[in-house]
Amino acid sequence: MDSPYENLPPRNFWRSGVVGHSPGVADDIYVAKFPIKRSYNVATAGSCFAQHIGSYLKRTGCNILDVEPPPPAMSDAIARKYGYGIYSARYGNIYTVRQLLQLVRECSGQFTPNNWIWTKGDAFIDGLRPSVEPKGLTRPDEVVAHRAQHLAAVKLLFSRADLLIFTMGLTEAWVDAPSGTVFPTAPGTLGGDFATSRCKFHNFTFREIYDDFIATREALKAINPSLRFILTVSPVPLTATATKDHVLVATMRSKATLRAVAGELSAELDDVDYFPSFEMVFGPQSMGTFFEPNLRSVRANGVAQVMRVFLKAHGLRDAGDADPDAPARPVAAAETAQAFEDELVCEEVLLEAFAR
Amino acid sequence: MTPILMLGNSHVACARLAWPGMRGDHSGIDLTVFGAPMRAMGELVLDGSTLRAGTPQSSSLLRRVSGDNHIDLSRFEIVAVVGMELSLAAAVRLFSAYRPWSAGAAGGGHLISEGAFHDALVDAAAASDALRLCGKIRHVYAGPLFVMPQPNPLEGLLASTEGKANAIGVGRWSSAARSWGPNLYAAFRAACRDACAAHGATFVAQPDDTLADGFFTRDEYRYHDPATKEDYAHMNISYGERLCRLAAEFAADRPAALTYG
Repeated sequence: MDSPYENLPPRNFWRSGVVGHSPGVADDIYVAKFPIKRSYNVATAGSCFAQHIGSYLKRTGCNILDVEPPPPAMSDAIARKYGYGIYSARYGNIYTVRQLLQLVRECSGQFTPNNWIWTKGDAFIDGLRPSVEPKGLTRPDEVVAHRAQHLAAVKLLFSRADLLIFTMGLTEAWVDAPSGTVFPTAPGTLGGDFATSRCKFHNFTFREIYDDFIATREALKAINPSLRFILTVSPVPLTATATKDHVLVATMRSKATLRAVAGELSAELDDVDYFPSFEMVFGPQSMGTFFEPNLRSVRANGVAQVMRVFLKAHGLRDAGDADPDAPARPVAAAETAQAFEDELVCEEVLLEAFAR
Repeated sequence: MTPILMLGNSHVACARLAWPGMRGDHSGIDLTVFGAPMRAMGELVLDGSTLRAGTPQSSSLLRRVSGDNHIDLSRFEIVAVVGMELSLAAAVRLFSAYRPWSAGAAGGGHLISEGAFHDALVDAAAASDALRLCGKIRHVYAGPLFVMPQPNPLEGLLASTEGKANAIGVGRWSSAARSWGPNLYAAFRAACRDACAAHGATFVAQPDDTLADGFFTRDEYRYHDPATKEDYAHMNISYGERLCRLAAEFAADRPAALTYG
């Protein structure tokens, strides 16, 4: 009797597709839906893990857009402290799709946030990107001016990009209840005051996230009709949950929801691809070897594994490989990855301080 | 007698020229000026307590200018570093592209926070040969360490239409001076103080009475060399005397906290 599984390739079977490659994965875990050419203008955004993707792609010689570059005199370390050079613009971590939607609509003049200027001691910060000015700004109208400049840059970014790589990070978010404005962190974490804010917790559902992405895509296509998307899901577990669930249960629900949305979008839309970084790090084949002892931070070898698959699938080479076309990079990939991990900018880590 | 070492690039030359004529009036100090032009000082390497030329070219320059290609830091009770790319020019360059909120409409097109502006200036100072040399010195020398910046360009620069003056960005200097000069100069000094403090060094700003029109150096300090008519950067023996008098002050005030910046 014929079986529908009879002539399937090895990648379709757990033993041949997974077990033999553990703790790594076979290259064919990912088949790119469309190629990334070096000439493409690539924009990156998303949660902490997205920082790795931009960093690696830069090293391949890909044109990772940066519409808000740091001053030339500024060292990399200080630049990162001010949110320069982490993503394609200084929007900080965009954990939820709703945040991305807000940003796209705001830079198109279709959305006005509310209660977004927070205090930080005597200073003021942009609550929609609270990490980018660690010392804060002197006056609220200065925050407004900085945001206007940022929005103009973001609109320019989306109009120039051929590809947006977006890493979905969280389903949980804090929302200004009367207006619906979503923030990347709760007031009181990096600035602002939770007690006096009108923020409420919200855990986005599959349908909400799906609809948000469809709306985001539509808004972006209005700016740039040829833009394409690669979605990933961050394998980094939640630092804390505001639900009633155990943090592990909340993490799995969050990741499963995001993964399901990404899969659905990729299956339905020709211009949306899904890259399985989540599976590569979080899957049972990894046996936890890609996590640091805190079982949360992704180790350099995990990032290297993920990016090796990504680059190979797109015909790109890391600078460590012998590619005459690639720009010279003196620092070994693993070293860079480790150094990068050490400096990863992630507000979620701050939550740990509140857990003590 | 307090032995003082003054290290620097071409901007220390004026002190070297001035000191022989001043020595008699400052019997309490023994000043040694050790320097070389271009990057030779930035390429010095540590060999025990000795700073030694890092390349054959540097060695040749040091021998030619200072008589030897090395200097032993352990001989000195006070060390001062002069010039070596610690320059207001970095602030002017930054301001030509980025403007802090307090600058209003002046400055470059990109708005930048005051904090980021300050930190960028600190980074620029820290990356100068002067501060990198301080880092090396601090490995072997724990005594008083003073840092004096490259003198600001001469005030005649703005009136110049000569080629070399334009090459160093007359337009940028002019725009910065007219729109936000005193504030920019204050920001530069604050950044230098912080960058020097990271090495346990004291920043010593250019004496105010040598300045004119905000932050330019008074033309009376202009170094007149027929071969370098367009030199708006290097100072004459009178300015060198100011540097030497500062060195004497270092010895007099030591080890009290100093507020030169």
